[in-house]
Amino acid sequence: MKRHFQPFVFFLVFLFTSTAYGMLQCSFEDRTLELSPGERGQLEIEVSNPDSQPLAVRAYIGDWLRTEAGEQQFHPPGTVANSAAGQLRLAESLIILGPGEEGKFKLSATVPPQQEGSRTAMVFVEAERPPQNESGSAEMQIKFQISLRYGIKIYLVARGTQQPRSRFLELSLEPQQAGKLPVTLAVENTGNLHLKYRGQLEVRDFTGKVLEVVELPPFSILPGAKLKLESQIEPPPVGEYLLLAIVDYGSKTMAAEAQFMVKGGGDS
Amino acid sequence: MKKIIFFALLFLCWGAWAENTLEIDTMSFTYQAKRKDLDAGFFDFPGQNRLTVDATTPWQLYLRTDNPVFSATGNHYKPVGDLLWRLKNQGLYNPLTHSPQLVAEGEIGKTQVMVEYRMLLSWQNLPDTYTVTLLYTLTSQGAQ
Repeated sequence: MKRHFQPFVFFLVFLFTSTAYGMLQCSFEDRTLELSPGERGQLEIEVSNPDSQPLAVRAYIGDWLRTEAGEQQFHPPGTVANSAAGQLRLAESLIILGPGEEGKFKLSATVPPQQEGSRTAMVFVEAERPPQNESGSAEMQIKFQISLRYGIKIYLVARGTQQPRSRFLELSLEPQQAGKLPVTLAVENTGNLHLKYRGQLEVRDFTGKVLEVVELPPFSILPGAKLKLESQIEPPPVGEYLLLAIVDYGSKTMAAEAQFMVKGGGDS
Repeated sequence: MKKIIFFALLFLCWGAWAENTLEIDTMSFTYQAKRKDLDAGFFDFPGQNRLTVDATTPWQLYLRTDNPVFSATGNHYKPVGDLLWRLKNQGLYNPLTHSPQLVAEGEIGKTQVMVEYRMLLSWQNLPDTYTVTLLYTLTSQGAQ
C-alpha cells in the first residue's frame, strides 16, 4: 500500500486572490413583492465594491426551503414546490463594479393569474470566483478554493388571495435533563402564505398563576411546511402544572396546552 | 432641524448599507504532508478560516461544496467528505458535504466565525492534483 508514497507527497494550497475577493457588500434582507394576479413588478438588489480593485459580481436564481429542524436547503431553480424561480427574471447576471462603486441587480417579477398566496425563491449574489490554477508542479496536490455568496430570499405574494392559517402539531415535555425540562413544539403552516411567528411558553399552576415565561425565538414557516422547535423550562416544585404555548402570526394568535406533573426528584 | 433629520437619515441609510458584508481573511496555506501524516491518516491545517459577518438582520451561514468529490486531473477518486471542518475548538469535526451545513448563526452586528479544517489521508490516495471549492452562503434567518 505504501508504494504510492513519494517524497513530494501532498501539497495543500488555499487559493485566495486578494482581500477584495470577500469584500463584496450586498443587502441580503428578505424582499417581499405583493402583486395582483397577472401583474408584473420589479425588485432591486444593491451591491457595492468597497475595495480598490474592480470586482465582477454575478447573480443567479435558485430555490430554497427550510427543513423541519429549521435549517435551510438550497436547490436548483424550479425544483421545489411553491417555487417562484420561474417568475423571476434578472435583467443582467453579471455586473462589473469599479473601485468603490455601487450597483444594482434588477429583477422583474410576475404573479400568474392562478397563483394563490405566496411563492418564494432565492437570488444568489457572489463575486466571480478566481480561476483555479491547475499547473501544480507537485505530483500529489490538493487545492481548496473558497467562495462566498449571499442568498436573498424573495417572496412573491398574490394580492387578495392570502389565507394565513396555522396549527400546532405537538407540544410535549421530556423528563428533566441537566436541571431543565426540555420542551418540543411543532407548528405547521396550513395556509398559502409564508408566515412569521413570535411566541412564548408559559408555565402556570392550576390557579392560573403564571410561574415562568420563556420567549421563543422568532421563526418563519413556508406554506405547507412544518417546523419543530426545541426549548426548555425550569422545573417547578413538586406539583401539577399547565404548559401553555402562545404564538402570534400576523394578526392571529393560537395557543396549545399540555398538563404535566413534577414528582419528587424532578421527574415530570 | 431639517438638516439634522437629513443627516440622521443619511447616517442610518449608510449604516444599513455598509454593514451587510461577509468577509474572509486573506490567507494562504501550503502544507506538505509527511510520512507521519499518512501513517496517522490525517493532518490538521495550521491555522483556520476567519469569516466576519457584519449584518443588519439576523443571519445564518452555511457551508457546502459544489461537487460530491474532489476534481482530479488524473480522474482519481477522493470524496469531499475526506475534508472535515468544525468551529474552532468546538466539538467533533464534520465531513464536508454537497448539501449545505449550518456553520453559524447570529444576530444584528459584527460576528467572527472561526473554522478549522482537517484532511483525511490514506496510503490508497493516488498521486494527483485534487481540487475542491468550498462555498459559504450567508442568508437571513428569515423570521424578522
